[in-house]
Amino acid sequence: MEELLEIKDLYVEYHTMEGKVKALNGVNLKIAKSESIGLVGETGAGKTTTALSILGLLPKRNSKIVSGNIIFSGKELTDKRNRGFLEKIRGNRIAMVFQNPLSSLNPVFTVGEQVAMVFRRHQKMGKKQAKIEAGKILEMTGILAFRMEDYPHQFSGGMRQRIGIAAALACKPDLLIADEPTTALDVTIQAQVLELMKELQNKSKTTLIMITHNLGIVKELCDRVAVMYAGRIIEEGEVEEVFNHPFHPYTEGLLGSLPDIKKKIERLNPIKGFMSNPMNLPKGCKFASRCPYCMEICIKEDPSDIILNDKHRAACFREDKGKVS
Amino acid sequence: MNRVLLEVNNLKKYFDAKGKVLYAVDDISFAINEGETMGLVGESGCGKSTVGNVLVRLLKATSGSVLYNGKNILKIKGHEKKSLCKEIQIIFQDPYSSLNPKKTVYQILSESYKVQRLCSRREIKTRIEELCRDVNLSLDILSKYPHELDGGKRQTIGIARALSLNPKLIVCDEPVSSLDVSIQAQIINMMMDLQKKKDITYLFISHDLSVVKHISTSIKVMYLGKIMEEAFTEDLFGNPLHPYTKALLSAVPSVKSSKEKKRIVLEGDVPSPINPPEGCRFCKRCWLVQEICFKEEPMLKESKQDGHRVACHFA
Repeated sequence: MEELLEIKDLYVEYHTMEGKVKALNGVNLKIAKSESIGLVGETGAGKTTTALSILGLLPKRNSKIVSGNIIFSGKELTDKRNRGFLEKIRGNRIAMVFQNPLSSLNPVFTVGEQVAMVFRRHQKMGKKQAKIEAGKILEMTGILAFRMEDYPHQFSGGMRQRIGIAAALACKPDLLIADEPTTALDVTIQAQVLELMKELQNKSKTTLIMITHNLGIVKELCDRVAVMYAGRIIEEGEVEEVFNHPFHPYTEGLLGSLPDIKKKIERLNPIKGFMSNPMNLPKGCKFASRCPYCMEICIKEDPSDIILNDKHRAACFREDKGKVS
Repeated sequence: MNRVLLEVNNLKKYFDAKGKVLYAVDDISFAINEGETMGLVGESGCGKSTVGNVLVRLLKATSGSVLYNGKNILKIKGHEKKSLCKEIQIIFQDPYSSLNPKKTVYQILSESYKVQRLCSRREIKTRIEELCRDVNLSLDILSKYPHELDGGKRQTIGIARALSLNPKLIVCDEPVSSLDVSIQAQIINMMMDLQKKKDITYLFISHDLSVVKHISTSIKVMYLGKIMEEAFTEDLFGNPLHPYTKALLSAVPSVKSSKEKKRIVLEGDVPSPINPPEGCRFCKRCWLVQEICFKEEPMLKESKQDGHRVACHFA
């Protein structure tokens, strides 16, 4: 399969008043064309930072890509000389749907104008033509044409998110990054948005990076899943494979902490403790302090990725699952 | 069957919304048995939090009665109302806004003892330390301020505060919704352990069906201020009768479901509680809707199963 995006050994830091925050610590990820991948992990794991680095939207003031490469269809995006290229493809070939649709839409423009703006900017359309196209794409996401003259605050949360999706899909992007698109929505509205995304995926074969903390959504929408912890992808593979045979103790813990509506569980099996402070990450494996299988080597060295099979890799020293030392 | 601890009869809470009436809670009745957990689920705006707030008297009910141990707690005043706090407590959803940022954890936790004038200063200290052991908090946290702590710790403090007076009933208003899954699981386990240890009754309000299923003995499903269906947890999930419940259950993404899963997708949004539809409240989004649904409001009626009641003309 043809590769669309590759992230190689990406390190990103934020500089804050309290000190240096190591947000990404060696992210490696390859995404093929028309694949959908779920990026999961807890708050502070680096999911959104990964997305923002791809788009070149990291706040310039206090963050920087320390090292690593992001290669999108053969071009290096981290290279400053390719800044122009990135600006051209952002919103055009790579688009993003944000978590909070109310703050990602501009309150002083009608939604029709906002979606039309994408066409005018990237496809150099005239006003009239852009408006017609905007109407079409909004209709596709379930917003009726007569509402194009309305402002974002006049829509409900679910509809705003549809508008966000419409704006993102306007230029038929090769890559769509959705950052927790349904977290702010009610379940029945979430179901509407998920169905819409599924439909779009089937129709236009867009490559999708779905950022979420909801493993159920990943299961329903994605082919592959990448689990992030403390700025690193600690396990990655096909959804079926990873969920049925989790290798990394963190993935195992995540799956154990989920109450499920399909299954009766007497007691949840949570991961003990809290995530290490990203300002002061321990040496060795970042998960060691919470890991039930922690060995001596885990405290000293950071594990590199091991390939379990062609569909599955994980970063853990554990060779034999279930062996507790 | 356990003894009934709390009985809510025909509770109504209407708000005034710029001259119009907002029907937040519209004539609901239920009972909670001692030592059990009752789940209250529904989408935002269905009135579930309003119910919780009325029960702890943070909001005044428009009409109806709430009998706690046989006594109508909506009518009591003064001293009696104050001592009600020792019986019924609440855990709030947002651990960031429910703790006073100017006070240390120790001050926050000692407040209830001081207000109730329960014990001497020295005794307060031993009680708080005991409390910390109950909820697995280390003692060095007591001198910290809320902003120094993460969401999980803060919510634990919210729980400790609710436990401080040894209440019989705790209203839990979305206590784990703002937490990450691994922390959420820790808190849920802790709440279930405390329930066993101290024989507490919970009213568990949440929009997350899988969490409610895990923790509750029985469940009520609310929609636009009304109870649509009530049943024991297994019955509700095994055999949902109301179309809304069916849609809710099928909407939840699960790790166990397949990619090809067919779900019932409801059209549109929850209508505004200012102008609820006539007839059945759910008629505008229901896919099984018939003429009668627009005219007549279905009553909550008993189904074949014991304790399973549903408000639908066709269930």
